[in-house]
Amino acid sequence: MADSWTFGRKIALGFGLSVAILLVVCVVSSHSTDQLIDNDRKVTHTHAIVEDLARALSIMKDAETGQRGFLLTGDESYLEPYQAALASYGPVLSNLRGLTGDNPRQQERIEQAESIIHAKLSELKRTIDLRRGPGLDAALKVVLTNEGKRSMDDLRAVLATMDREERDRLRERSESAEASASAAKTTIWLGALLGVAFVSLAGIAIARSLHQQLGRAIASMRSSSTELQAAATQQASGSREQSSATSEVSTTIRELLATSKQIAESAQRVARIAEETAGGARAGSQAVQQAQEGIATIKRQVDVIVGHMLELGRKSQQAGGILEIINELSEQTNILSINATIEAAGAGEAGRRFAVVADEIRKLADRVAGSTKEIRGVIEDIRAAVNTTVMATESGTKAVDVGARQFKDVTSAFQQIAGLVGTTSDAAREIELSTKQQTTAVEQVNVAISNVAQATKETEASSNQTLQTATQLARLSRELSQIIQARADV
Amino acid sequence: MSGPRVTTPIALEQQVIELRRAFDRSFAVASGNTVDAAEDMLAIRVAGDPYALRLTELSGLVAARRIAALPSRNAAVTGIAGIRGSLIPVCSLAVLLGYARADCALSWLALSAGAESIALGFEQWEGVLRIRREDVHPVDSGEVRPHVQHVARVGELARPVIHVHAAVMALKFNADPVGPTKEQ
Repeated sequence: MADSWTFGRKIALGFGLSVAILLVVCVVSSHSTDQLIDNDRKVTHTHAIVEDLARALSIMKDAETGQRGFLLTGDESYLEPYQAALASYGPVLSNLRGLTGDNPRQQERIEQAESIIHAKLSELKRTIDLRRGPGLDAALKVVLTNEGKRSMDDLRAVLATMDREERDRLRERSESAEASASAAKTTIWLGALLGVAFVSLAGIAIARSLHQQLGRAIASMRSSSTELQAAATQQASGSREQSSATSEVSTTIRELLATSKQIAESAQRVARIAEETAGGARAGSQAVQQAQEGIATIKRQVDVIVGHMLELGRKSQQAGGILEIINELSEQTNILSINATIEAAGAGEAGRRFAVVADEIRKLADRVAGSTKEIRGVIEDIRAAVNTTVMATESGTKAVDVGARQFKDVTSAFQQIAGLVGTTSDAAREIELSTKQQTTAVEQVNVAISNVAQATKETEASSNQTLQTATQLARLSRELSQIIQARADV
Repeated sequence: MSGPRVTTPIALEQQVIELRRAFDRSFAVASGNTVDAAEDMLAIRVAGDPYALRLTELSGLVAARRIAALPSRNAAVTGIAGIRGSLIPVCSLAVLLGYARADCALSWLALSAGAESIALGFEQWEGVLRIRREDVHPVDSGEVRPHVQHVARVGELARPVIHVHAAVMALKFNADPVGPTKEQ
């Protein structure tokens, strides 16, 4: 059970018992001292009574001495001791009466001594008065009666009795004081020896217990200090790594912050450009609508042109038909002229002149045929041109239709672009807002990281301090272990 | 597609003026002074090749409207046609010249001169050429087309002249149409 007691409890128990022993010794010593003091006070009291008894006898001697000198000389100056005795015997008796208040026998004796003193002083006064009056002889007669001597003898006897009783009491008190002092001395020595023995035993027991518990505690402390040292070293290393990582994170966050600001600026520019693009898209949509209206007008004009060209084609076809008739006529004319030439040639000399006419007709027919061929070529060119123009116009119409549809698509695309640009503008604004919020958050994170870096540095410093403390603790545990080992060896 | 030929109104007007002048000049020139120095020929196409027929050997030129097929032992005879109120036998000039029958396309008929006219069919006629006599040369020995004895030079083009009388005579005497008929 005592092994589970704490150091304080054990030390408190040891010191408590020691203090109890000291208290006992103190109480006994105090009691003995009180008794000694009481005895001393009583001894002093007795010495005072003895002194007053001697002083009372001395006063009466002084009064008798003065009376004798005056009787012998008649000089008043010899009465001074008598006068002093008259003044002082009362207080002395009163003091004796107070000092012996606890002793009835002494009170009776004081009464006896006082009556004797009064008788003596009365005899002295009578003689002094006789010396002053009748003279010396009258006074001597009284003296010779030995009344005074008897009074003094009685007084001496009473005072001697009182002195003996007081001296007996003084002896008893001295013996009692010696007994008390001896008992106190014995008690103090025994208490001191007991205290020393108990304190020594308690000290040995506490030292032994402390050695064991301190040994275990020191071993535990050494182990803990070693672990703490390792942990502090690891923590310091971790703190340095964390500080380095925090610095890198802080640098990265600063770069991220700069990037976020750039993104915000870019988003702002994008939003601005998107607004400008939206304006451009609206303007483009309006322009496209106007162009679409222009294309519709062109389409109507082209339709009119196509109609005219088709009419022109029909007219040229009619002209071609007429030209075919002319060609047929010229060909038949040519055939007729050829036949006329043949006939004229067959007619011989008579047909020579007719042959000339036929030849001219044939030439005219040839020329008509040539002109007809040219006209046919021209008409064919016209028809080809008309056909080409119609085809081109139809292609143009189709192209215009396609263009109109494409313009519709372009208009739709512009509207879609305007919508998308609006969406882009909103998205850019949201990006800008989000990026600003992100920038604020990153700044807060940066501040937090700075705080973390500061805390990490402080942790590193604290770890170093802990490491130093752990090292000191380890050294201290080794020193304590050496101290305990040395004491155990001793 | 070839580009359109440009015939400006000024050119047409110039052509009209030239036509009028030529027409008027024909009345101003004296007749008969150039006839002996030249002869008129009908320019034709047979199987795509150019040939010429002397107008003096012909009695007429008509379009081949309806030819009634007529079986004949002569491959050149294709049928008969009614021309100017008479039934006239129609022969393919291409077959007479030695081309394959499939190459014959009879669009025009040239009537031979003489009492018994024969219609020589061909595909196209191009006009009447007045060719000077010095431009008409005998055919070279290398050229083997039958019934061709002369060649008329018109510019750079050499146009063989078909001897109509010889061809008609060959038909009448039922001569071999594809054999060489050198009469020179």
